[in-house]
Amino acid sequence: MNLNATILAQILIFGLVIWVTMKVLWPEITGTIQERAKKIAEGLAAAERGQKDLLAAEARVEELVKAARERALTMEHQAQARANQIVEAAKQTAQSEAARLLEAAHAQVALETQKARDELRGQVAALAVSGAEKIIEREIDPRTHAQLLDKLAAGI
Amino acid sequence: MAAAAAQGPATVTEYIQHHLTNWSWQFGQNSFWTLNLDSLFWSALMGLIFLVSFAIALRTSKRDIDKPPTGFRKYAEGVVTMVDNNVKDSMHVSSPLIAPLAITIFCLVLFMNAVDLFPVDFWSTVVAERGFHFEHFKSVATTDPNITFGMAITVFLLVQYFSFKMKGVVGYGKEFLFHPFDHWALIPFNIVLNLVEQIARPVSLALRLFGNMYAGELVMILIGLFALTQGWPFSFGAAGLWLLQFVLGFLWGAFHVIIVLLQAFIFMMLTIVYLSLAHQHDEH
Repeated sequence: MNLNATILAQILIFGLVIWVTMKVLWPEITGTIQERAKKIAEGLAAAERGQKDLLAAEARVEELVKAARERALTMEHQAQARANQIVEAAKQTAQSEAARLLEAAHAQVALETQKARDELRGQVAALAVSGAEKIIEREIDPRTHAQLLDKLAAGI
Repeated sequence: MAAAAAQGPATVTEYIQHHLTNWSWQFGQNSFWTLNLDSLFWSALMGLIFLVSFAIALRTSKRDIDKPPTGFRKYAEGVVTMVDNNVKDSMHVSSPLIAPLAITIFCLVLFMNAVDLFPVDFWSTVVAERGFHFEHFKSVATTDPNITFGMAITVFLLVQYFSFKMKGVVGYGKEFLFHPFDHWALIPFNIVLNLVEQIARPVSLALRLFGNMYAGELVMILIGLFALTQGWPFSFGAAGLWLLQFVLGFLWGAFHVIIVLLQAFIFMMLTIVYLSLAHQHDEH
């Protein structure tokens, strides 16, 4: 290990390289790297923005879907209610119609019964008259006994 | 080997001696006035390679700022970012010198160390084949203590300069007198302690790098001895020695890659630490 003037020469060389690096290389280095860092930062920011936009859009879609679903649900409810109403109304109409028909039938039956009864009454009266004629062997003037016969018929 | 073979490497000792001697030029009366031309050549060449390659890489980076860096540009930008981060982490004040200095140190030491990964006699052979017949031609500049001391002393001078600049003569003097023990009776002790600390820094910086690289180079030379006296591998034994030399050389070379990188990093990191200490105002 022999130390000699090489040290001094090396100090000169080294100092020169440092000086050139500091004066020429370094400003260029920092400029370029800072610019690149800026670009990367911008890219990252843009990506983040995109992510945020995507999230916002997704939230909006969710909202829209939710609103649509709610609307569909209310529509369904309304339709159900309307259908129930219609069915109820139809039922009511049918019931009243049935009651009306029943009443009419009842009236008809009563009428028919009355008619049959009247007819029967007449026939019974006639039968009674003819029976009586046979019993007493003489003509009974229905006109004279109409009052009596009527009373009889009403008694049946 | 060719350079050695031309003069006939008589013995193993001579071979080793030969490889540990610099190509030097004495220009004064005293033997101190000697320049190790091979060390200075490699040091200057590596400085030039560093400056030119980084200038080209960064110019290209500027042009293709939108494209991701590839190849050497990746290395250049990676080194710059790594150094810059290290400087920012350890510095509380910004200085226009420290980061460029750290990059220069890292690259210069790395490049000079990396020459060690070439085969021991490669460059001397190349030079000899170009017609230059130097008696000695060492290629790893950092195995020359003059080079490592030259860099360490430069760092030392910069540390002193910044200490005076940032703290002032009074501030720096006060630190020298009252640090670490803040009592007037301990001033002589403090002075001794600070002197030792200040001087130990460049010495350890220089010797650490020199020792690591010198030892690595020496091991490379020793591995190179295996097949040295064997000639061409015509015999079974000679072939075995050639193979052994190749395997050992490869293994040591692979391990040496780590040392080459690590020593460059340590030199850089310690420089940053020393300079950040020079910038720091001591509060107590």
